[in-house]
Amino acid sequence: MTLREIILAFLAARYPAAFTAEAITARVNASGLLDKPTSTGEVYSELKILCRKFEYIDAEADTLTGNTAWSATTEGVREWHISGQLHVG
Amino acid sequence: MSNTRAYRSKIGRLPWALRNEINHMIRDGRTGTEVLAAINSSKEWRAVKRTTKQEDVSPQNLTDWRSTGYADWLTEQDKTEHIRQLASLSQQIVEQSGGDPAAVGSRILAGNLLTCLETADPADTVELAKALTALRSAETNSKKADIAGDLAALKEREHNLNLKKFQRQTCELFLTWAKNKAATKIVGDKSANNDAKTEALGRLMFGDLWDSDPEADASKSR
Repeated sequence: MTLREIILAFLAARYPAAFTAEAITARVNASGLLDKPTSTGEVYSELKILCRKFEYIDAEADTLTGNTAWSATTEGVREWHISGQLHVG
Repeated sequence: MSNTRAYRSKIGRLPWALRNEINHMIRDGRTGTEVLAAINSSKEWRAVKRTTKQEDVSPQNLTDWRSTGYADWLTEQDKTEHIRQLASLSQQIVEQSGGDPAAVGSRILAGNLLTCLETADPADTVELAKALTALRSAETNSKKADIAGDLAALKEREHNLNLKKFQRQTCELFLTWAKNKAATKIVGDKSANNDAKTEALGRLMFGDLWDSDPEADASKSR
């Protein structure tokens, strides 16, 4: 299971809620699904690919904090369903 | 995923639908005897038995299944339920916070709340619930203020309409009474001041309905 799959599963299960890259990193690491902890930079790279290449997620600016928040698109949720609804606790 | 994991036990090699049925029976508290009877009398198991010449599924086989396949199935059920709850909660938060899933703020709010709820210990959750209650109360007060504002705007609009109506009616009255000889005589009376002319015109135009200005009456009596 790749970091990309885990990120998509995390966001799709919580659709339409949006999370910052930092929050996603913390939750992915806490899930214990990876062999070693990941960094915000790695997560950010995967988020950009999921957003720009696959359009499985969307990015939006949090006007309160200025941070970017990421949420799954309906296409992303569909992909997650098709690939077996991986659970990221 | 564990529900597609290959099991090598007698029960584990049964078709998925029958295994699912067996798992539901165990979860619902059916006795081992009942579950074994259901398995051993099923057409799926009888087909396997005919082909492989195996003994019927035994109580020990069922005990083994409880600690492997059934345990995995239970975990999977928990995960599915968790996912269902997360999806439902996200939708509820977004709807409650504005009703528009496309609204950026509500999606971020939903994310923040889910993070708090999923990572908080029970004590923190109580504090969060209190904060949410306060937030809800503030939202209610804000809505009340909005309604009061709407009412004030409505009254102002009504007032403006009445003013316009009054102005139009005054002009219409002027046109009507400008042709009246008695009225033009009052207006042209150089011996009377404006207060006296107003009183005289009032009585002419409105008769008994004319309500004299009390201050003018008082000054007259003085």
